[in-house]
This record gives sequence, structure tokens and C-alpha cells, in this order.
Amino acid sequence: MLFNSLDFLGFFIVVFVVQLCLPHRPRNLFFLAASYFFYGCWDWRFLGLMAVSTVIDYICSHRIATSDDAATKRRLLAVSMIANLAILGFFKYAGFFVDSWITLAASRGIELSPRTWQILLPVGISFYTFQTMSYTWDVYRGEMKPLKRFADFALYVAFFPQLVAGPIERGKRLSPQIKSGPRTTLDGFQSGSWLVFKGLFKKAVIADNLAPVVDSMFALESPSAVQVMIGAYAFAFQIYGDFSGYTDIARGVGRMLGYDLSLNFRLPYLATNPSEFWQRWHISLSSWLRDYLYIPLGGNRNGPWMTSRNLMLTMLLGGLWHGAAWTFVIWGAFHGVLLICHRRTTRGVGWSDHWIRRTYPLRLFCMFHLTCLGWLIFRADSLENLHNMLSGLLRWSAISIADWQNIWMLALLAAPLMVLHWMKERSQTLVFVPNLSLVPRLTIYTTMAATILALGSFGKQDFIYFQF
Amino acid sequence: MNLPEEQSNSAAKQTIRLIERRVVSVLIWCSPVLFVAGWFGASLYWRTLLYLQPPNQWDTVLTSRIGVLIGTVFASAPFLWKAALKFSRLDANRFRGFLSVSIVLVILILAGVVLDHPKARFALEEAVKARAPQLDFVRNIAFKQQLLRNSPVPHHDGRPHILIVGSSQINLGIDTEMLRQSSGAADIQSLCMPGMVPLQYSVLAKPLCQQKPTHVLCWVSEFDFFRETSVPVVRLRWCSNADNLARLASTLTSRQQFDNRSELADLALASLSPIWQQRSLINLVAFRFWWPWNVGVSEVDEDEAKVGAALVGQQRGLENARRNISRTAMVRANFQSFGEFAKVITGNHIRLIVIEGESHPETMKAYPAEFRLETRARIKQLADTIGFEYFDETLRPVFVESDWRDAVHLNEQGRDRLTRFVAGIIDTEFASGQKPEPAQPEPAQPEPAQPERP
Repeated sequence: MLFNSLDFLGFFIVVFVVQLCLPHRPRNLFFLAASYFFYGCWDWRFLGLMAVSTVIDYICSHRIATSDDAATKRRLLAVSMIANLAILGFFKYAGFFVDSWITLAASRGIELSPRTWQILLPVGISFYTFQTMSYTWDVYRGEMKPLKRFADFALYVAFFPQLVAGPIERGKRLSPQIKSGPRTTLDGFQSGSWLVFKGLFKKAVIADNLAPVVDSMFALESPSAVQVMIGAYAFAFQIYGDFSGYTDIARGVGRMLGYDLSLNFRLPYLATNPSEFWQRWHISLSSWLRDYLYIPLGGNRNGPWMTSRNLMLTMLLGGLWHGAAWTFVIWGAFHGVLLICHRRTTRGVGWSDHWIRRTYPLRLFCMFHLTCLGWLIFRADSLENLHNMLSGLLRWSAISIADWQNIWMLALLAAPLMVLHWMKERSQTLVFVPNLSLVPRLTIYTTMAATILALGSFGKQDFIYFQF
Repeated sequence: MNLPEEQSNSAAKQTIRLIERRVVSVLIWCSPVLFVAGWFGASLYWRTLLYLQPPNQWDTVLTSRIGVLIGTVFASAPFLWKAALKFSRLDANRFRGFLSVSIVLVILILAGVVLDHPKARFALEEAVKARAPQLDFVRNIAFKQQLLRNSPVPHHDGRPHILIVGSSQINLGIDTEMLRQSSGAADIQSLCMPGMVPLQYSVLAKPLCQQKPTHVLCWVSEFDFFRETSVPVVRLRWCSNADNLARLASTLTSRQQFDNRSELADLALASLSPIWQQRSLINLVAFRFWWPWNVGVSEVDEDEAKVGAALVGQQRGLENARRNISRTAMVRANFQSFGEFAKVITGNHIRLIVIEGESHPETMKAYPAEFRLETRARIKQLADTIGFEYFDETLRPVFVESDWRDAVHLNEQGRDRLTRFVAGIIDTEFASGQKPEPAQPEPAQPEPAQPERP
């Protein structure tokens, strides 16, 4: 059930109307049932998996909270972590590691029979696993108290707006809301509607119209430099439109129901360095990796080499989180190198305000292009495809009419978005359009609505992050 | 480094107002420039923007009403914005979101009314034709919309007015010039679309009758009836209206209606909103604007994407047939839809001639032969019940391998043979002084032009 489908519209209308009539506890139970139904629409077989993960973490977190013995707490934490990582590892990475092992053995002259079994990847497993892990960890660290009711905890794991592709909610943020049961308000409904509308625009107009361009560029046998660049730029805006569109809809739906979900994007293509980029892109994941991986590894406390090691490990695992493929590992390593270089070159250097202002466009340009280079690695289907695309950067040829049309399409979809982002950056607020005066606000609303009607692409493309 | 926050407090609003005021004051100072830019730009380049034609001459600027209108809109927009800023307190109420949505809906309805105007529709269709290559599907829609909107061709001395309806198979299978000469037809129109499916026939039946043809010629086979797996939205959206939607829904079982709920909702929206209805055309116009002026027309043609069923090779056609021809859930609805079409056509006293279609012999081996027999039997039954002429393969020319240009389309030789056969049917009737009569339940069938296939 995609957010941009008629089925979801019908589902949401029913959920919205029914929840208005229910008191707090039954309302939570109803949300839980709706969330399981929502997830079951993809594949009901994996409901059991989510339930198992929920039960393990519920029991572990409660025992941790009630136990006075530090060793018992550690053991329970270990049980929770191992169980979650085992589920994630089996369903997401088993095939990858077996294939890699077979390839490695073959390179040493050892013939192993190829893998004949396939494991289906449960939708959203990376998201809800990380969410439950952070919950248990926070309880272990004493940063929060566990939810008493099992149904409330199950709702925390499965809350349908953010179940399939995030944002990865922390227990500290979402569980108090579940406990208190916030109601739908007029302001929440209006701002939530705007978020849904904005998300739908990003997904249906920007991401799904750019998807065929990206697919065609990455399918070329010997692309030219211009085609590689079109592919990289188009994918940069496709993945932004797709993922931030999903997040906007998720947050909007949550807000219409009374819940405030985390911010996941903060104008990422206006970042001027790699560190800033990760404070703007997929914030819920990057902050998760920071809090539960980078800092426990030692963070920046043990000297520059250990900091670099920790950064690299964090980014490698962050890359691998996205999927079981070498391209994701390389992408993680690429961002790890960027972060290390940035840290090494800027640490202890005092930049004057004047110099920062003067170099702003250059830093913006460089970071955007480094990000696009990263997306090239991320999007490549295989290492051969990646090699093909990178070697294409050195292949110059005349620009065909089809290329011009793709450039035009890219400019038409990306330029207004970037202008709006720049205005948001200038005003330092992400709630820009709803706060404009009547004329520009209506102009933007009408243009967006007409564009969704005329140019929106519906029901053809899944959200990219569903595969993670 | 300051990262923007998600805040909607009064400080954020003040910052945004400040930015707005600055932008507005700059724009007001620039409004004369905006007027001139809008006037000159629109006068000179409106043809370029719409139809990709070279810019207008400079002497047209002074007399261009479009230019003055656009210039005025450009120049007055900053003043309107300033007025809105001045009265922004009126806009500050709890229901501003709902009010905005209401106003946007009204604007969209008005935009739909404008788009429904024949002049606007014509401009859009011409803009599509300027951008799309010959066999592009959307280009085809533009042509069909124009054809159906045009006033009907008057009859000439009782001579036939033939309307060819179907897919690219019959479009490429009939030589219209040859048919005109040999049948003495006053006019021959083609309402063929690439891959036209039976569900399209029923929704196009009434508009076709408004063209007042004397004959409607179709070529149908299992290739048409055993293919679609769901309601083909892109093929039906452009001609969707409440009447067509009801007719379409009636051909589907309740289970099919549920399975195709998204498609039916899409068509329902198309019947309500002209913007949604014309979205394929608008999409093409918006995204295929680019046209490099330094490239000549011939080079452009060479570079155009090769699209359309006419260019399907033998191998590709075989693969398509193997993959697509099967007993889908839509088979029953397809036959019912074709029956509806036949009823409307014959009910309007138009002679409906249906020829059993076929493909390259190798292509037909790609799917079970029973589909062919079933199609023949069911169309025959429809013909007997409704009263149209059906020429199955025993009554029409037999096509051999050398008659085919690719997996599904006839070549010149095959086309000549089919055209002569059709002309024979029509010419015989008109040469004998017959006027088109209301179709009889059991029409007389001419002798087959070729011996029966063994």
C-alpha cells in the first residue's frame, strides 16, 4: 500500500475518522491493528517476524528496567542486540555474504556450488530493527523508562506512518506521545495536510518523473560524460524527492493523527561540507549511527587516528545498512573518507566570517558535486555498472536531442526546488511556504496542485528506501 | 553554521515577511522592465514556446494582444503581492489552510474550464504535434481528439464515407488512397491507435457515430482480445466522461471493478478534471520543450526515438506475443465491450464490417490456437446477434509469409491484397446502386477473394 495510492487514501480516511471517535487506550489498539493491516498489505508472512522482534525487545527492556544487577542488564541488552542483528543479518545479508564467500573461494581456485536459495527481504526491516534496538539501548542507559503496556510498545515499533521507511524514531521521543495519546488538532491537521501535499509533490512530480531518466542513463552500455552527469544529477534529485517525499507524507499523516515525528531532512543539497551534509540528510539514521555506534566506539576522544577509524567504521556500516551490495560499502567508505578529510583539514583552523562568506558558493558547489559522485556509486547496480559510469566521465561526445530534453526536464524539476530551498535557508525556517502572504502562497499552492494533476506520475514506482 | 529549523513562530513569520517586502520592493521598481520583458518576450516567442517555431518578427510586437496581456500580468503581479502584504492581517486566521485549499480548488476548476475551450485544446494538441515523433502514442491522441472534435464530413452523392477503426495492424494494412479510388469513397478517415484495445471501441462508439460515416471497418483478432490484464488507463483517459465510465464499469464484473479500482478512480478523475484528462499531452509539452535551433529538421528526424508498433521486428513481436497473449481477466469484458460498440454502430444505421485479423504465421505460433478459434466463434455469435458483417479467415484473403513486414503488420503486398478485398465489398454494393441500409441480422457475404486455406 503505497502512500501515493488510492488504497492508502481510503485506508487513511477510515483510520482518521475512526480514531476521532475513540478514547485513548482503544485508540492505541486501533492504531496497532491498522499498522499491522498496513504492513500485512505488503506481505502478511512477515508480520510474525515483526511480532517476534517486538516481544523480544519488550521483555528485554522491561527486565533491564526492573533489574538491579548490572551484569543481568548487560546480558539482556546483549540478547536484544543479538536477536535483532541476527534477524536483520539473516534476512538482509545472508545471501550477500554467501555469494561473496563463493566468489572469494573461486578466486582462490576453490569451486563451491552457487547459492540456489533466495531470502525475501521484509519491507522496512532495517528501520524497525534500528528503532527497537535504540529503544532497548536507551532503557539500558537509563535515559528513558520502558512503556508498560505491550500494546503501546507494539505500536511504537509498528506505527504505520513511519514503519516502512522511517524516520527512525527514538523511544525517548515517540513513546511519551504514545503514552499520552495526543489528539488531532486543527493546526496539526492543516500543517500535516501541507506536509502530505508537499511530500506527494516531491514523490509524484520530481522523483517519479526523473526515475525513467536515471534508469535510462544507468542502463547505457557506454555513456558519455554528459549522460553520466545527467544520470548523477537526476538521481540526486530523484532520491531526495523520493525519500524526503516519503518522510514528509509520513510526518504529515502522523501530525494529522496528533503525532509529531522527527525531522529527517534539512535542505541537504545546501550543505557546504560532509559533516554538515550528514546533519541535513537522513538525520534520523545519521544521528542513530552517531549515538549508538560512533560514540560507543570512542567518538573523537582518543586522538585523530582513532577518530578516523571510528568515522570510517561508522560510515561503512551506514553504507551496509542501505543494502547488501559492494556498491553500498564503497559509498559508505567514500563518505567516510570525505568526513575524515574534512575533519583533518578543518580541525584547529580558524575561518574568518569574511572568508566563510566569500567561499560559500565554491564550498556549496564542491559539496554538491561530491554528493552527486557518491550517488553515482550508490545507484550503480553492480561494480561493473559503476566502472562503466565512472569511465563514462572521460568519454566526451556531442549532446543529442534526447540528452537536451533530459537536461531540460531536470532543470524544470530541480531549479524551482533549489530556489525554494535557498529561500528557506535565507529565512532559517523550513516552514516557508505556509508562512508566505496570500499571493505567493496561493501561486505556489496552485502551481503545485496543477503540476501534480498534469505531470504527477502515480503508482509506477515504489519508494526507493523500501528496499532498505 | 546555522541549520534551518522547523519553526512557525512569529519570529520566523517576521523574517519571511521581511524577505517578501524586499523582493516586492525590488519587483515594483522593476515593473516597467517586467512589462516590457513580458510584452516583448510573449510577442516574439509565444510561437516558439508553444509550437517550437522560429520567433515572430519584431514588427508584430506592437500589435500583439497576447504580449500586452502577459506584460500587464507581469507588471501588475508585484502590486498585487504588495497589496496582499498590506492586508495580511485579514489572512491571519485559524482556517487559512482551508481557505487556501478552497481558493486553489476554484482556480483549478477555472483552469479546467479554460483548458476545455476548443481554442486552448487546439493549441495544446498542436504543441504536442510539434514535439512528438510520427508514431508517438500521445501524438496519436492529439490527432484523434482533433478528428473527433471536427464537424462531420458531409456525404457526397451517397458515396461511402469510410471510418477505419483499430490498431496499427489495420492502419498499416489498408492503403487509404487505393481504397478511395477503387471504392469510390467520398472520404476515408482513420481512427486507429497503436495497440488499440476492445475496451476503447465501446467508449469511442458514440463520437464515431457523430462523424456520420456510412461504413466502419475493423480488423480484430485474439491479439486484441487476449492481451490486456487491467483497464488500460492511458488509452481511455483522454476520452473519459461520466457516460463512458458508466459504460466501462458495466462491462466489468464487481470483482474486476474492485481489482481495477485505481484505474476506475483515475478515469473518474479524468471525467471531472480536464487537467487530469489531458495530462499525457501536457506532460509531453512540458518535458519535451527543448529544441536545438542549430540542428536542421532532417538531423532531428534521424535522432528521434524510434517508437511505435510499426517498427517492431520479427523477434520482438514474437517475444511480445509470447509474453502478452494469454487468457487474462479482461477477456470477457473485451468481448462485451466490442459487442456494445457494434450495437451502437449498427443502431445508428452504419454498416459495420469486421475482418478477422491475423499476424505473421510465426507470431501466431507463440500462443495457443484455441484463442483464435474462441475469438472467431464469439465474434461470429456477436455478428449473428447484433447484425454486422464478419469476414473470418475463410471469407477473406489468406496472407502468407511474404505478405508481412514484421511480426504483426502487413507489407505493401499484403496491404494491397487486403485493400482490394475491402474495396470489393464496398464497391460491389455501391456500384449496384445500393444505399447504405440499416444492418440486417444476416447480411449477404461476398465470395472470398482467395481460396480457402487448406
